[in-house]
Amino acid sequence: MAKAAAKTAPAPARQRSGRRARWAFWAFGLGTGVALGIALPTGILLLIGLLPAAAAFASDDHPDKTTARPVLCLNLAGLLPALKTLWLGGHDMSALASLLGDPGTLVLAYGAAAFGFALARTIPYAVLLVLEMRAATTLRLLADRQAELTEAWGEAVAQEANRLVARAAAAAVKKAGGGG
Amino acid sequence: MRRRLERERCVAGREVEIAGYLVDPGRALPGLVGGGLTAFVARPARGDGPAAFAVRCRTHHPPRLRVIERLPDAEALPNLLVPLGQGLHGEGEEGPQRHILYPLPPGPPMMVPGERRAPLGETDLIQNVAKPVARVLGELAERGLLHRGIRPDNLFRPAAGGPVTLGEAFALPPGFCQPAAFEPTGMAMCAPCGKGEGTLEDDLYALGVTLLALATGHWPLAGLDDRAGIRLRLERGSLAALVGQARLPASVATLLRGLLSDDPGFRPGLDEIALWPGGARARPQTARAVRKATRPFDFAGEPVLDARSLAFAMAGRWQEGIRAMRSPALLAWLDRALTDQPLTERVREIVDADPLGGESDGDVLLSRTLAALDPQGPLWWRGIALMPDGLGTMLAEAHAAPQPSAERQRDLADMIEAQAISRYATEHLDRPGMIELDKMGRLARAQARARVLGSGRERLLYQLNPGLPCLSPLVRKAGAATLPALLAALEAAAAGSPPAAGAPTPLDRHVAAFIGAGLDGAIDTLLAAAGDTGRPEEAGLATVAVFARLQRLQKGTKLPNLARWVAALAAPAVATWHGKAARARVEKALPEAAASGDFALLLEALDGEAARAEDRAGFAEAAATFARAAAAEFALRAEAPLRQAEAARIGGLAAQAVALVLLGGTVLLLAGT
Repeated sequence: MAKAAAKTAPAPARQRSGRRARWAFWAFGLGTGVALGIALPTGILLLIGLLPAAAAFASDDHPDKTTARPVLCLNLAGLLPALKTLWLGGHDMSALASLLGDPGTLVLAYGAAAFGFALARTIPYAVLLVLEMRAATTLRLLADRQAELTEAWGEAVAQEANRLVARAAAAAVKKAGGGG
Repeated sequence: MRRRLERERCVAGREVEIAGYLVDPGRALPGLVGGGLTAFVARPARGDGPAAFAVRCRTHHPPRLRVIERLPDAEALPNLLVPLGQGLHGEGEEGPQRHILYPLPPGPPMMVPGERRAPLGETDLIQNVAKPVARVLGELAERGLLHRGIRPDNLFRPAAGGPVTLGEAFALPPGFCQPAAFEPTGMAMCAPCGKGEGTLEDDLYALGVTLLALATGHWPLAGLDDRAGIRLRLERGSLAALVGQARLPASVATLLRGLLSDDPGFRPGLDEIALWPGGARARPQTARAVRKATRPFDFAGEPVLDARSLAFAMAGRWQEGIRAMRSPALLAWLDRALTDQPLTERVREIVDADPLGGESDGDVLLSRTLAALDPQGPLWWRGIALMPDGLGTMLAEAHAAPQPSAERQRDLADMIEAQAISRYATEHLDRPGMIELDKMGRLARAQARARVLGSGRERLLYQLNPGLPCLSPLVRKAGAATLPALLAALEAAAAGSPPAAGAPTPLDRHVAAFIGAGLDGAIDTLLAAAGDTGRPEEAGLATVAVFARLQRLQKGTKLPNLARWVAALAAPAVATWHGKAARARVEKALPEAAASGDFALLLEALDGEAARAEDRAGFAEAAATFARAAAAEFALRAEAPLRQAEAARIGGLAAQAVALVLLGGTVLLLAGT
């Protein structure tokens, strides 16, 4: 769905979003590099733990990164307990090794990222379902009203309505032609 | 005149009451009326009144009702039998016939046809015949009326003598009873019912012939048939032909020279006759001599020496006349033997207008040629002669006779279609009233061509014959001559089961034309709509509206049977209502309204103005609402891709918000532990 929306975006907007994605990619790499330089264990943990978010940013071509952002947020939320443990446990490579050796660390981080991906993918469908249900209700009400009118005035009312619509359309066409 | 149009009422015995007089249909009075009509004994039903007789009219020879309506009281016309009243009576195939009541004349007729009697003296003739008749004609002329029945057997006076009284002349078309010898030659050629109103000069001519008959004591041109008499007068001139060798008193001879002149301009006026002989004006009393050819024209073996005689001969043998008209011999004779250059040129123009010699144009061309050859002649068409204003009575005879002549009907229809009347007018532009005649000819053709209900030949028939009963098979036996009578007759016809023996509608072409003529075109649009079979709903409504209008004019007499019949025909009009509720209401109200016999109620039920406006407004609103709903439905279906995009946008934002909330919650949770 997001892809479909992206496809409908005009070309200049697509170019802008491409540039932003590349900027974000390089910003992410630069940030990670700085983190690796200043705080190597934290940097390595972030580098490994945020791989799903990086993949999401790389693959999400929607200008608003509607999938990558939730993935990043929840990926980060899943990695925060490990970061806290690292920072409170001495912040050295052995602590990092111990954390990375624990499979629960990455499972939590990656699982949270997966949950974020699922959220990004399912919530629009839920919204669409609500919108379609509202439209269907309106359509049913309109059809009921038309049926009431036909019952009271016969089929002629539909013919007259068609005539009115045709006349209005003709007038609109004439007006458009005159304006052009 | 006392106008007493009352419904006839049967009285004990054979007598019936008509217009306040008891008429005995079993006792005829001979010698009082001509034209094949019968006069019956009549007496006042109540109180005193003059002894009277009743003349039974004929449907197909309409009486002169317009003249009767405009006649002054009897006191103003002591020398004329002024109608006392009129009414309808009778049953059977022909239906009721109009009866006109007259006072009994003061004595026997002056002379009966073919009779030889002692000549009247000069003084008696002038003082007791010419002057009283001239006074009557003067009184009539003041009102724009003519008598058209002056002849010896229609002049009455007591055996002891005294001024004469003119007999009846209103029960038949103008001049119907006049023998050919008593009419100017042009008028004498006409069919009896096609003479038209005529002119005062025609009455003066008839007075002249009457005076001649009384002065000589024998019937003019007795022993000659009409054609021979006309031919003789054309060849020799009326005066010479009629007077012959008779010796007349000088004063009478002078008067007759004027009255019997073939040129109407030579006839003396009424004021001259009233003062005769002292009032006689100096004028050339001798009419111009008939222009004779140097050699006769041989027309079908008949030698002819003058143009009018030739026209009369050609008209009598129509097909041979057409052939003669197209032969060069005619023009050569006119040019070289008759030496009448203007006439030759006129006939040449007419004949040259037919370069192809088409059969269809032969009648028109001969009619025009005869009008040119005989400027005083009538309008000729396929051997029928009529004065153009006699078209109405000719149509009445052709259509209303007990056994109508299809051939005569076709001939008259063709004559109207060919605009023969207008063409006749253009040949006589020097005469007064020809512009109006030309217009009448065009209007008659337009009317005859019209096909919508309430128009056409039937309408022409009733327009030209006010008082003619409606000839519709539905009401013919009722003799309905007025709109109230027509409504009553239709009500009676509608009482049968099925109504009127299965007639499809009470508004057939004759009934519609009769109504249209009676209302002088006031409801022509409604009548046309009532005849629109392609739109039965509108036709039904229009039919109801027509009868509602008639009923209102007749003070609302209830007509339940007719209303039920019309309501059944108007049932499709229910479909003109849009709303189903309105239709149900109308369907329910229809039988009740019809049973009331009130067409206004029926029309209100079927086409009430307020309810109709409400129905139209409601329908328009409903249609607009329906259209809006349809448009909204269309828009909703068309917006599905937009909804998808919106869902993606909102869903993306929502996912980000949820993710941020969870991230924030995690931070807070870890910060707290």
